[in-house]
Amino acid sequence: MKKNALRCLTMIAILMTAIPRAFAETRTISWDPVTTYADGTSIEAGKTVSYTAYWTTDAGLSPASLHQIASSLAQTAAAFDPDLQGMKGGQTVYFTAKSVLSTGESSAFSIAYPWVVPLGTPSRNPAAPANIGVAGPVASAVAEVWRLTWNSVTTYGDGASLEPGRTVQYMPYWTTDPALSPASLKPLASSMSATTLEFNPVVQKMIKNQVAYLTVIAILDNGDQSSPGAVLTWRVDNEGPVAPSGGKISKR
Amino acid sequence: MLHRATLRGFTVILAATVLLAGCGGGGEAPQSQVSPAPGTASVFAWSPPATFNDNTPLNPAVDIDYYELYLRRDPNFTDSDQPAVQIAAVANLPSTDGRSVVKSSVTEFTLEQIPSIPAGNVLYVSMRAVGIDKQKSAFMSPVAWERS
Repeated sequence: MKKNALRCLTMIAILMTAIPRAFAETRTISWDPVTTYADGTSIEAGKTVSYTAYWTTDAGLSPASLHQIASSLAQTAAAFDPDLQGMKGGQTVYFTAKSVLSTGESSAFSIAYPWVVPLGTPSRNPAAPANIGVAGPVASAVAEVWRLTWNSVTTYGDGASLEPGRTVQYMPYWTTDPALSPASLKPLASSMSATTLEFNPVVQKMIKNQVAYLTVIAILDNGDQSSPGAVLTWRVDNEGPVAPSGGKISKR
Repeated sequence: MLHRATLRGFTVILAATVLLAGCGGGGEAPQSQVSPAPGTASVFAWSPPATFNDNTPLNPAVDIDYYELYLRRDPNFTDSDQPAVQIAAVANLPSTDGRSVVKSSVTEFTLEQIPSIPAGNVLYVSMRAVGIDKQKSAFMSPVAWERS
């Protein structure tokens, strides 16, 4: 009976880790590994533990308020971007996590760990790429290749023009998560200065007719990055709808 | 009373589905828009696409973002034509009891709602479907609109 309850996670701590500047706003939440059941007995050899981390503004951790940061983690840490998670500077948020055994049993949520989101420096992040589009197939000699395009970024997020000489790189991503959770974003290419990318859905392991969400993040030469550009929803590999039919005009 | 309130809601929602776009491809000076007298509205109806170009099934309520409606004085529509109006593919309509909203595929449009209609007794109407990924269909077969 007691073994159905894993020991609650303890000692969740926020770490300000050194993360590459491309993800300058990234923080890491970490916790101690779970090795015992709630009664203190050790978890049997051969069973594995995974973790799901959440945040909320509700100190009471009401389930409906929880935002998932990452799930099914084997490691005892998860990276997150406060901006992408929707956390506001100066706001107090609460982290929690739960553990799940490979046999299905799960723990209760850990005790809420409060954290005040840093106000940070005034935002000078670049504007998000706009007008993202996909077209294709553009080549069919060997495999179907599709072209993703977007507008170049010439301003900061607040609309001010970038200073002369500033350069912008772009990171195109795709995901099947309409919420664009950071953990779900899969790069379509490494960072690039062009505003066009040709990609092969098969190589990207996209499934035909799967709904994929395509987006692009702009990264300034100092590493400051934009939020994801307006999401383009794409049903993989389709070549557009056939034309409407049966047109007729009637007087009413 | 409830019936009247429902009708009013329908009118507002239908108008909200129209996204103004550039003028038609006919190249003529537009006439001013005149609200049609009762019984004289020209309603253009169509069947939404049911497949993609590769014949895989398509759900118009999910996969179509909007339609582009085109007008010309001849039936020779080209890719350089600008749509006269964009029409949302899905509208939120009042349920039959007027107490809730249901999503419904849009399959007709009153042509007199187009804000800038080229002059001419006979115009041709065509349409393209635009997917959620902004890919456009070919033009549908033109339909003559006899305005006189």
